[in-house]
Amino acid sequence: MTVTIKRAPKARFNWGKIATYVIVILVSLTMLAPFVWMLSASLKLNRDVFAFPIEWIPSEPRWRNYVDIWSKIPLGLFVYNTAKLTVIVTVLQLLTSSFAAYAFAKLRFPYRNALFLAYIATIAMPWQVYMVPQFLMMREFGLNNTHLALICLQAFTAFGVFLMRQFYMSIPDELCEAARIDGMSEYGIWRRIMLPLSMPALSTLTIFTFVNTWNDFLGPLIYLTRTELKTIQIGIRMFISQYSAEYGLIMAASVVALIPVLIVFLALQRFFVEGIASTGLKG
Amino acid sequence: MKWWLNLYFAEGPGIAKDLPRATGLRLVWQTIAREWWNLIILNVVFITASLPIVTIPAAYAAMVRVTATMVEDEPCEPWRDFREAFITLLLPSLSLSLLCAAMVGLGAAATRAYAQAATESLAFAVPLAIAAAFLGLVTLFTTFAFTLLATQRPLLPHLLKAAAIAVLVRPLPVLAALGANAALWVFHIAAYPSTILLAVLVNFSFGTLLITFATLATAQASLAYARSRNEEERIKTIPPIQTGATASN
Amino acid sequence: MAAISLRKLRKTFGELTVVHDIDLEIADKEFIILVGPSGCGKSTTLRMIAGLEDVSSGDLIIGDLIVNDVAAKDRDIAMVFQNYALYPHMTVYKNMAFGLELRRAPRDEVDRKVREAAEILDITYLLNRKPKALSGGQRQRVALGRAMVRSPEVFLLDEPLSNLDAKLRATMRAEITKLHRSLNATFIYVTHDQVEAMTMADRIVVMQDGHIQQVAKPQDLYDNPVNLFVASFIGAPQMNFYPVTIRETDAGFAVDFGGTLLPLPPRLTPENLAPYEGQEVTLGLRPEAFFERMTSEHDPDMFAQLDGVVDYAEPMGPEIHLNFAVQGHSTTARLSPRFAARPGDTVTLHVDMSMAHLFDPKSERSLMAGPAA
Ligand SMILES: Nc1ncnc2c1ncn2[C@@H]1O[C@H](COP(=O)(O)OP(=O)(O)OP(=O)(O)O)[C@@H](O)[C@H]1O
Ligand SMILES: [Mg+2]
Repeated sequence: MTVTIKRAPKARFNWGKIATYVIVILVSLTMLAPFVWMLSASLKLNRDVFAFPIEWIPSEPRWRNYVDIWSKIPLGLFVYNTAKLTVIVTVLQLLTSSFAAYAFAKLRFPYRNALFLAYIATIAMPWQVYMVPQFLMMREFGLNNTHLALICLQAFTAFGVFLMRQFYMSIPDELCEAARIDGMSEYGIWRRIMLPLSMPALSTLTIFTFVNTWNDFLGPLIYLTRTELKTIQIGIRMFISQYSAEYGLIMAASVVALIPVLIVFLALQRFFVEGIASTGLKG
Repeated sequence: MKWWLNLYFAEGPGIAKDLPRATGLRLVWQTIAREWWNLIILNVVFITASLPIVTIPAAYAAMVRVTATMVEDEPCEPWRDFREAFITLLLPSLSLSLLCAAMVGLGAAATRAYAQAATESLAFAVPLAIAAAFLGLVTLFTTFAFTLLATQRPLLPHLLKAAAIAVLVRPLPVLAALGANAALWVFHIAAYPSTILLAVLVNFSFGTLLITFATLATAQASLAYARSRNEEERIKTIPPIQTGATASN
Repeated sequence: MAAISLRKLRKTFGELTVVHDIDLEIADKEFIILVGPSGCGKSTTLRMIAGLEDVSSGDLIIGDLIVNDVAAKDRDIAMVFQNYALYPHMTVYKNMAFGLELRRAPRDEVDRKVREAAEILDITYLLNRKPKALSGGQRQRVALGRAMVRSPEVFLLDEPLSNLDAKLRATMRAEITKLHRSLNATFIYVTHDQVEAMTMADRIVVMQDGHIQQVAKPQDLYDNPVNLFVASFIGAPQMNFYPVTIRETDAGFAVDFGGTLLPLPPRLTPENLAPYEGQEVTLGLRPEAFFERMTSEHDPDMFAQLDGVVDYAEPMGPEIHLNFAVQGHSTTARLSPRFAARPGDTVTLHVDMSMAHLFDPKSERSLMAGPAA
């Protein structure tokens, strides 16, 4: 008996795939549209911003907007304030989160898991619920209208602790135990073993914290009323006066405000994206 | 995050025991790939240690010591090794640098004088050539002398003799290394200020690594030769020209 | 001096007691191996000795000091972990030097010790590499080296070879034995591989469910298991067990196995056997107690014949493991590879009853060990 060997048919044209691509592209475009609109508006005169139909590429780009924003309001100072707050808060968050996470992940103490759950549960509580009491408390401490107030509030984050703890849990306990036998203190283990190993988690947390703090609007709005303390996000509001708003300038300033966030994200996204992608693959 | 942990904890392919040591540019590349992080630390430490200006020779010598450890593929800790070398080499390197600076200065002055003279009369071309050659040789001599001081700490007469021998035996790799250094700095200046980070993070240590590569083996062989007393020993220590640690030919 | 005593050592995790009041005396420079099935508390015991787990009750004595409350780093011990636990971001050199550096040992002493250890373990060529590139065997050596450099009095090893392939394991077994001899330290070694236990140990501690079942030299353990658990745990293939009845005959005591009378060796004295007369006990026979035929070396008084139906045979190369049923009891025998038997055949094998073990089926203890204390 002879066996005839047939070639399995080639996969047909895959309409499902095409449809998926089309949908994905459409969604991406929708997401990008406001951003593009912001870019184009930042190069327009105020009166042209809302002209309809939208002129995506301005015929006479007004680059002057990017010069004017620095003189019309103290934008340089705002950028400095924002950068200062963001850097301090980010560094503090990285330190406190990874430190606390080390204890929750690698040390044994009574009620560890209960404490952790309670701490994590605070993520579910919207800030708006307790921001007023918090504000009153801070005012009692005399921290109203200081950067210190914001730094104190934002130096600790349950989310950061959660993220770092999950990462530390995946580092074998034996590593800490070997270090303990070698004679290292718990603090030393954290600093010399855990921190160097947790770069991807730290990068991810840096992205989150940096972006969040940089873009924070409500916090500075509540705590900072003096002009010289303001951050970009609330400083930009100075382009809005009672009767008019300089939309072209607002958009230009927003673009400027966006740049550091983009840089941080692009610099660190490798960890973050690859991390997500390969966990999916390798399980 | 698993990929990152896998990177760390997954079992590796193993390292063959009797792998022949790479030579030439491949060795440079391997060393850089292995020690890049230490090179960055080293660079920052070097800049800090050089701030008081008079400590530059010691800082350079200490950096040569650390890079020599890297070249020899020995475990190094830039911070600690640098500090130790820096302290022990503080005075010797300062004196050596004064000596070398005097010679280089002399060569430079002579070259400059003859260069000016040569524009007026071609007759000065010959002394100009000699002065320039002297300047070049003295520069090479300096690099060898520092490598010797940093890695071997020989007696002064041995050091001078060995450096002189080394210059004559294998000048080309060092020239190439110096050239690479020059190129690095030209690039830095041309693209300034976007390359400022490059200077802060790698320029010095990376450049020194290249110089160490080019000088180390020759310097050591020459020193052994200079130290040997009698003819018989000399023949045994004829510089092993084909040893690994040379940047290029 | 690093003799170690465990006195009524207990470990509980909440409600769960994992180690039950164990007593163990370990002599200085002894090589002790803890074996037992998974989850029996070997690692927990070792980790208590290391100081990685608190002692729930009882005393742990190293040298002449009760160390219950001494931190791990001050116990003069070193530990080798199953997954090696090398610091991934440090070079091999640094991994090995780290413990000494933390103890502020002088630079050149650290350097000398690290290089010495590397030399002994033949890993000098790895010193400037990171663990990432190392194979399992190389990592294992580095882990051993890290333990060695501190020249501790006590080495604790928790299944150090279980992640290696079989060939490498054999080499490393020999090397660890050699290390023990040259290092002059007490070794406590956990494994569930009985080959490791038999080949390396001075004494073996068999554990089950958090209790120590027997502590003995390897050969003693094999020859005189004190109870059914040890008898079945040690030896591969396993010992065969049969329900038999003790009978007193003219020639002394014998066992009645489904109508066949089997003689008993003089090791089992009348004092051992008299209390069980007429009662059912468990007969244990190792696979090597079965023979195809008797030779002149054998004592005919100690031999008996058993018939069985062949189930299957496993050729092992130098021998075969013949699985057959004797009166319905599945049995494994180690026979010469020339013994030809096909499934379903009936075979008659000779049993050397001088190798017999008898166990009390209720207390599971060996009749030779006498009644439970
Ligand atoms: N931290 C802990 N909390 C609760 N139970 C634990 C803890 N550590 C170990 N156990 C339990 O203690 C028992 C003994 O564990 P142990 O690790 O000592 O076993 P083992 O003999 O080493 O086993 P294996 O051969 O699998 O390593 C196991 O049942 C285990 O589940
Ligand atoms: Mg275990």
